Amino acid sequence: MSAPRPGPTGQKPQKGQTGHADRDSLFDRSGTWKDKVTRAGWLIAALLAAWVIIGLFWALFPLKANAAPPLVVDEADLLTASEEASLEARAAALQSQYDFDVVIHTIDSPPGGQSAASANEQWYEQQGYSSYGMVLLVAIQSRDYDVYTTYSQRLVTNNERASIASSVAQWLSAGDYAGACDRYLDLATNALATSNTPGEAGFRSHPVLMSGAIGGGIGLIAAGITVGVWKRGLKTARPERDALAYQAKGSLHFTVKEDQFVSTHTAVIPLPRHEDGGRGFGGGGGGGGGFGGHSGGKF
Amino acid sequence: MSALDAAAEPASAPPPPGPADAPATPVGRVGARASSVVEYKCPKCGGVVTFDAPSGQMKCGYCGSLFDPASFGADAAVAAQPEAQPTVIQETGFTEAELAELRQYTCPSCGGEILTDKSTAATHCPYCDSPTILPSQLTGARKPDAVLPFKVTKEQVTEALTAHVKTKRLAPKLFRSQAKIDSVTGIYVPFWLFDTQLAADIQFRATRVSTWTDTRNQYTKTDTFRVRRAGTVVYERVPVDAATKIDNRYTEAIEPFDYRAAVAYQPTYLLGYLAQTYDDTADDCRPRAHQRMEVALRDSFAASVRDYTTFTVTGERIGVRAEQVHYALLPVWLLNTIYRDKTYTFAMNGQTGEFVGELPTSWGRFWGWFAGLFAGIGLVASVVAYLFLGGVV
Repeated sequence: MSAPRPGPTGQKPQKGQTGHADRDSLFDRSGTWKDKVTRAGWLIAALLAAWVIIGLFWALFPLKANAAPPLVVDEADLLTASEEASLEARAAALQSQYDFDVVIHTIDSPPGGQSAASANEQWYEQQGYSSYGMVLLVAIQSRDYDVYTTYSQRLVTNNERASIASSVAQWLSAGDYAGACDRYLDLATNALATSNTPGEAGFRSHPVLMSGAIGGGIGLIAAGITVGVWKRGLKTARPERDALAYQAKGSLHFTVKEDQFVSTHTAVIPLPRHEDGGRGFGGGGGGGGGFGGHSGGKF
Repeated sequence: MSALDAAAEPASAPPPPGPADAPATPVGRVGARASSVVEYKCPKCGGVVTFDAPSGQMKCGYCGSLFDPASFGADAAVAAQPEAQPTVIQETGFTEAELAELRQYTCPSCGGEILTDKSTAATHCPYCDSPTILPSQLTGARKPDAVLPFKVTKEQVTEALTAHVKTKRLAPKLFRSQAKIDSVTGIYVPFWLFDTQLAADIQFRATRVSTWTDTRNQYTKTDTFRVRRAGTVVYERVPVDAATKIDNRYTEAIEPFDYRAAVAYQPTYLLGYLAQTYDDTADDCRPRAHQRMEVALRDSFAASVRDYTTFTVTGERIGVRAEQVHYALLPVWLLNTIYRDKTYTFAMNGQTGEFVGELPTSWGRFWGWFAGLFAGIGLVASVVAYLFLGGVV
């Protein structure tokens, strides 16, 4: 009679039993670490390829499929149709080049007794324009004008906005509304072209790629951390560090408890004097600070 | 007062060699000296009797009768105990070294051959499944001072393991198999328990730092002290696993055991479980016990160095003032699984239910989950990023 071969717990396998019977997934083949690394590399490459395909698909079918609002809205009827079309074309060119909405809006008077600035900002935000843009409001009856820029001061600074508003006001005062709008677009073009952060315009031009890269990065990190934590959780056996749990209650007795003073040392560090301080802190300001804003007045 | 309080072995008395230490006497293919095997039968119906963890009594598997484990051995009929006879291990394929580790017994119930390693003290007959005791492994110096009976039942173990494995998404399918989980085994693991009084003298260098300022300067005053603490502390029943085949990481991680439930050793408590006898002597295990005690002692002494900003140990002397050693069998549920030529172990404290384990990583599941999470989280994050960057939000 053949007896089973014993192990420490009676569970040792028979000779020849290797435990390879488990094939729990398509990927989970046995192999050397090199094979595993190669498979992992292919998987990551496949994931990145899938990511690119998703990104391209996304770029071809963007979420903002709705028709973009017009960039020239002449409610006060100050412009001819041809002027309006010309201005619209120029604004659209700027939008395309810089992904920056340069909008012109004419009205009779600010609604509801609002200030021109308030009405201008509110209208811009409600129309669905980009969060990077600027708008010229001309209220013909109340003789108000206002230039509002969103928080895009790195493309159009507050100083530039003020300069644009000031220049446009002269044309408006002269009654040349089409000329004022042309001048507005000229100066906006200059401001965008001379922006010292062209990268922002480039970045704004490729939101799909940027969002894909950001999402991919977040996904990579989050997935890595998650599976890392799960993997660590597979091993819970840790050796005990000490025997504190076995210390008999009240068994700790000190026969010697000495605290002997040896030496002292005092370090003295002079404090910075007030007249020397403050330089380089605060101050700043000066041109281009802040998040968007208004420049305007009466013409 | 537990059974451990009754018997103690002085530190200086090394255990005499027991049967497992005796060299095997191979003759031809004889693996080792066979010895007597004891099985316990129900006095009422002759059925198989095992220890019943929930009731703490001996229970007949057929008629359900309960018996007191302390008196069961004397009262009840004990099955045939054949005399020790050398028996020939017919199995081929064993090396001489393997043969030296083996013992062969004859089952009193069915006559089947029970093959064990030399440190097995209780097992089952592989043919009739009768629980058997190998008394020669549990006598003389190998007789335990105490045994801590199982409290956790196999059902509770499998339930806990199933729940545990369910939460481990990266574990291979093999480990989720109920059949595999059902093969968990209750084992009485041999432990040396150390009662030790340590004496120590530790010196520290401590500093106390204070800072203040006036209108011109900032002052930092550092007072340095020489601190000394000397004294004694007692550690009771510090366990060290005496079975070389069981990794100490597991047996330490499932501590502590409540020794108040320990009882004087009776072989009847082992019925229905496997049991090992020690193959690490108390002297082998003593350094590990002292290592843990010394770490605890340093912590306790350091805790008394108060009201300082920093302190460091500059010198120490730690020694054993008195020590007693107990030998006990403690209950552990074990599940060993071989996966890709490596053994993975689950261990559960058979008294408290505390358990630890090690599971392998299924790389297929790892990369599958990684890809899924990457795609899912990445997609959501991309949409959110696009909504913000694109000015939709």
